[in-house]
Amino acid sequence: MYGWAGTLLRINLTDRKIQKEEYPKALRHSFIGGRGVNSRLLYDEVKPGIDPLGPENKLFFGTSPLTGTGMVTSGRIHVTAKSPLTGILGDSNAGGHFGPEMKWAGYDHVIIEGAADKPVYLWIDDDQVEIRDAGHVWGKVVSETYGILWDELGDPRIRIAAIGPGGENLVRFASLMTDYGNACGKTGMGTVMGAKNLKAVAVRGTKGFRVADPERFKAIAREWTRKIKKGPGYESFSKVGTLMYLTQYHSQGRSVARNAQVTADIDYIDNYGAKSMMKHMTRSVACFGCPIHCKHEFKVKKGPYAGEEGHGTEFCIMSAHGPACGNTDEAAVLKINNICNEYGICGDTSGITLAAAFEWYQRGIITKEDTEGIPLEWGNVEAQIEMLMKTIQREGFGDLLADGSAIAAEKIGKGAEKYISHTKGGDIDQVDIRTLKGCALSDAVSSRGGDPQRGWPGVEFYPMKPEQAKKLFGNENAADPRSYEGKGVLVDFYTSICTMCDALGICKFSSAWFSTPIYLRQMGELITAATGVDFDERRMGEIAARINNVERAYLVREGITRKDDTLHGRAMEEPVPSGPYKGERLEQEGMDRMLDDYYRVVGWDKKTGVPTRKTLEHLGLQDVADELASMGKIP
Amino acid sequence: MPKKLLSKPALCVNCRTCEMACSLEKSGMFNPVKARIWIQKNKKGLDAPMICRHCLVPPCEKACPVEGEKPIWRDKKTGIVHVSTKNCIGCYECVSACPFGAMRIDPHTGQVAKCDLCDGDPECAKWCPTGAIQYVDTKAIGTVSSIDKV
Repeated sequence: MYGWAGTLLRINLTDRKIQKEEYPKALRHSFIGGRGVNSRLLYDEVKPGIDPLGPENKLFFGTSPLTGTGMVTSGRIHVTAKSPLTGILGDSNAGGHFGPEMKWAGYDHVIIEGAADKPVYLWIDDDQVEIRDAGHVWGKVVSETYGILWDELGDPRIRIAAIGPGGENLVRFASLMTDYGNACGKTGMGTVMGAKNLKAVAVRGTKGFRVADPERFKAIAREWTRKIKKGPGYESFSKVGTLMYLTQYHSQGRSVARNAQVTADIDYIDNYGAKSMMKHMTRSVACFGCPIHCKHEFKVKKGPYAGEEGHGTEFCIMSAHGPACGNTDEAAVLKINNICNEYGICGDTSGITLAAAFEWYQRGIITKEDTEGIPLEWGNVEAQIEMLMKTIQREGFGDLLADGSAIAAEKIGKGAEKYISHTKGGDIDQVDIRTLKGCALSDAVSSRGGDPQRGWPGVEFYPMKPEQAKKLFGNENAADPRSYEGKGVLVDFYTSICTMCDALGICKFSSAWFSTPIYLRQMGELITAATGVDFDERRMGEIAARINNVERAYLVREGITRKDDTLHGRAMEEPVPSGPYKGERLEQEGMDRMLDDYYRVVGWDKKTGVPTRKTLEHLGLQDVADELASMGKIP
Repeated sequence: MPKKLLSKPALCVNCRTCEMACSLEKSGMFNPVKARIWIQKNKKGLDAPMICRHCLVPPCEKACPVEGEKPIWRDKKTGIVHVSTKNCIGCYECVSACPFGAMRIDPHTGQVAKCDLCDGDPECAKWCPTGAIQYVDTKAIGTVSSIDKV
């Protein structure tokens, strides 16, 4: 077998059974790997209605035929389970070196079932797999856990995916950290680990694998590298990374602050951008196999946080814990970045949750009595850090915030839910979504709740000429961020690319999602060279659609319908208050038109938002259609 | 004097593409233990490509206790230091002797392996995306330090 390692590893923590299974040909040929196979396995093996924190939930680690080749951006590991934050499909992928190591050990996917009765960790050393006691690392932060396990196993090159106290305390947005500063952040995959009493997965792989046509593989990979380096975003991205979005959104009049209450003309964040951030950065770092090297290491040189050093600073955390909380002290946010990485919680969701609490405090929905004396005033960094720590430890008011803003708002009542924005419990990124209609549609239909990486049409940020939009997406207005027209084809196009990147375990910054001319056709060429199986453009499109439909069916089984495909809170209710987009809104009528269009393009029922039998059968998902029919979801 | 491989830790971002390029060239596989180059944190905390220097007086060759036809030798014409499995007794004296950590042990066969500059066209330097590994003419090495600042 080429490309794939050929083995699925299944570990049951309840009865400590360890099984190696042959990787079924039909599964890999129909879903390729990564998110694709993970989602199919989740649909097949995790029944609807189960408790995400119970032993019936399963955790899937996935790689692809490209993972571990090192010649394309192939360092990612995709982790899937039912999400304890949203109650629907949860998944998240992280860079670093863990995915390749798992693949070299001979496993395409690792499936973790049941729950251990006391803290354990997994030690996968090629063919040898052990469940080991983790009592001595329970309660430790992530870097300390790495250090102790490296000493214990006697090799600092072993790759470890671990949770911190956040996951142990079942904070619903706990992350799973691989290497230093690479997080599977969104949707609480670390929480699922914590619920299973699983502290870490340590892996060493020395078996390696072969690709079908090494010369062709090398030639295509070299062409990809050339395209990536010639791409319009490469120059700044290789130096600044995602921090560049801070500056870009602000200059476009799309930045938001104070829990997205204010927008555009925000004087106090004029100086909080890529440039001011870069003075703390000491060097560039890459994930495995990546020529983009968008990550950094940093060290704060001056001020109250002098000496703070760490890894993995991204736009999401810098915005969510920055302007969203009214905070523009970048050194303080770097400190918070370290807390999130060490204690293992999602930097994005934790910041957005705190920002909601700040606004509830501002509006008197909660008071100092609720927060046990902590003044949640905009820009009060000490209060922000104190409340973050209480959230991680689930103490006092932090216990409520540890459930995420949507669940916390429901518990608080008093109209608190009016001040949060989300889709299906997943947060909306810190950019004014009202100015980007296609991005709003993508958030509304995303299979893991609000999320830019599920298919935001990047072309809306740099609108193209109407003729070109017509040629590519069939409508002159498709790329116009203010228009509701032609968004069905547009969002489906970008969704397919994002889905396929996740199935191939490659980084979206090396794809057409991020202006690099690498589309489904090019991805098919490379996967063909890797596996020897013919994946042409048409087949790649079909696979992307198959993955999206299996995920949608999973959501449908959990009760999701058309009414859930929208944005909740401020984004739908208030107009943009100032700046170049002043008065711009997301209108329900426009959203409805976009949904009608999108459902038509992807073949979902207009009234219910459920995939039709015809769509499912065309993609070879008869069994899924039969199950949905037996539940009365489709005729 | 022919060309030499130079390692520039200040430019290395730890992507390890060099390891995979080497592994594929030498073993036909993607497997880091088959690579003759590897990335290791140096004392300054930088990621450093550990490469064979093809020393003029190779410590590995000197440490080899085999008498007669040695499994390690330096080709005077090309400047390449070679290792062969023929006559190798597997004592790993060469591994201990190398001050640069450039001698590798294949954990599956137990045999030592090292860089042979791909016979004058090294894959690692071709794939390195940042210039942390450069294959340069020895006559130009005096000017290479300026590349750090690019």
